[in-house]
Amino acid sequence: MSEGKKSRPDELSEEEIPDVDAAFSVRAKNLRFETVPETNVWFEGEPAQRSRLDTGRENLPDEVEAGVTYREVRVTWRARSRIVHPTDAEDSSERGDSSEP
Amino acid sequence: MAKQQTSQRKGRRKSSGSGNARSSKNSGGGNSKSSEKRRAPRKSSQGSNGSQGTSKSQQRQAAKDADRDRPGSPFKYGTDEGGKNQTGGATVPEREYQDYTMLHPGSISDSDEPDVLVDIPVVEVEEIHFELDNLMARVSLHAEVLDLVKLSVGVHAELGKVELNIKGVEAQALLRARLDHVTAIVDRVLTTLDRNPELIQSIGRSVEKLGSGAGQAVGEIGQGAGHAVEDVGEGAEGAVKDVGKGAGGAVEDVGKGAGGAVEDVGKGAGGAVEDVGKGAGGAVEDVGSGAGQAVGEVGKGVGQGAGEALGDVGQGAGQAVGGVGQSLRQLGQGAGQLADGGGGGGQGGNGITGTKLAKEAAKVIAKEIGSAATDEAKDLGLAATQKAVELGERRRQKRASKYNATEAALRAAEEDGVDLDEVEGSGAEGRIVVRDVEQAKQKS
Repeated sequence: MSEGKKSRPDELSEEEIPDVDAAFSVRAKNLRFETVPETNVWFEGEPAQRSRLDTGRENLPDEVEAGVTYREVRVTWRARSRIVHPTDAEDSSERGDSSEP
Repeated sequence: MAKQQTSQRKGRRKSSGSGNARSSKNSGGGNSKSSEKRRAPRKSSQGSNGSQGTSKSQQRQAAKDADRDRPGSPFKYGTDEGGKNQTGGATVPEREYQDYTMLHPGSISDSDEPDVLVDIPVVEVEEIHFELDNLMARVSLHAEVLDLVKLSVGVHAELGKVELNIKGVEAQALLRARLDHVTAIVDRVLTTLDRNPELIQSIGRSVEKLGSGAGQAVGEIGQGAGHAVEDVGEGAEGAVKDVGKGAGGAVEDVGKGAGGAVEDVGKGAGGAVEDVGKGAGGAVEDVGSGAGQAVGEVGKGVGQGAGEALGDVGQGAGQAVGGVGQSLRQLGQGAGQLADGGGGGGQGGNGITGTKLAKEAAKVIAKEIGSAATDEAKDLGLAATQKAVELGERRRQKRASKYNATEAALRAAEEDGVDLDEVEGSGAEGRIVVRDVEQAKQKS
């Protein structure tokens, strides 16, 4: 499986527990795009958020082509996000959680 | 067709906030055509709420245990590691589609359990052809307590126009939302307020002070602006006075340098301009114009008394003072603009600006007057000399004609003080010549 991941400065670490977690997985014997879509993923949070997006592909290039049949394809997608609040520091110190910022 | 299992964990905690989690929704005009063949449930009539009786529940429990105990199985349904079903056992989808499940809640969670779980274990479709336009998926959590706390977090996925064919599809989705963190934040905020009720009071007072302070500040600004305008007005008036005095002095000096007649003109103009300086705004304009006319009249009077040359000088002086009037007019306009636009400035700043303006105006006026007076004085000298020469020549011509003498004889008689009435001419037709004048001088 080819793993791809977007990294950002405010990326959520693997150890942090997300408030919202969405995961999708698709497996197909044959996959053929007639029209290749444009995709966009973004996170929102108030007052702030830390997020991470993890994707995995099998037998599917990062940029698919229209009219090409891909076989034995598998795609996994997972987005996680956690609210960042000023009181988190207080909570971390109370719990002694070193993973909190 | 998707089988959806939602597991809402029973209240392990008490939440003081409110939360909601939304699964994907299609906001675009999606058009999906599918020919799907689902694997038929082996026991399609079996429910998940335990209504089939004890034997069914025992069967489910047995199936769950068999699944959990299967070597290499990642599934731990019904345990603390995953979304716990309300019935405590495995659901129909969990059992029916366990072979197709690729993600298990336990595999993407550690020990924490979600408050909201949307688990779509598997979707098996033989073939799908679908066309979609602008698929928008959003998963978010939002919590709000009055106006004190507002929390939200979410992920958006956007898919543009897509058209694809899929065969032998197995799909799975898992959405989870946890309220522990949100609850903790809300709890901390409310606890802080509970322990420090004065915070709310101080917030109220701050708002009250802010309103009152804003009103007072506006009032003070208005008063300050009023004072500033007043001071600017005073400064402008003083500046105009100073300009008037400076212009008067300048005109006076120019008048002195231009000769007696012009001196009088200068004094008159100076006085007039001084008077002008005492006024402000439109008065300066009128007086400046009046001063020009007055000096012009003075110049005309002097010119009548002293001849055409002095008349020219008087007109020149009048023009010069007229220029003063014009400059003062401009100054008055500038002072007016200054007074109009001076509301935002300080007292000292506008006062200094007015003084500078007055000085600059005085310099300009003095230059104009000096330049005009210099030109007029030059013209006066030249004109006077020319007039004197002309008068002498005329007088000599008259005397020459009267005494029947040559001009050279007349000049010699004037130089030697010889009365031509006592001289007899020896020239042609008895005309007195220089030799006659010299002989008459010798005799006397």
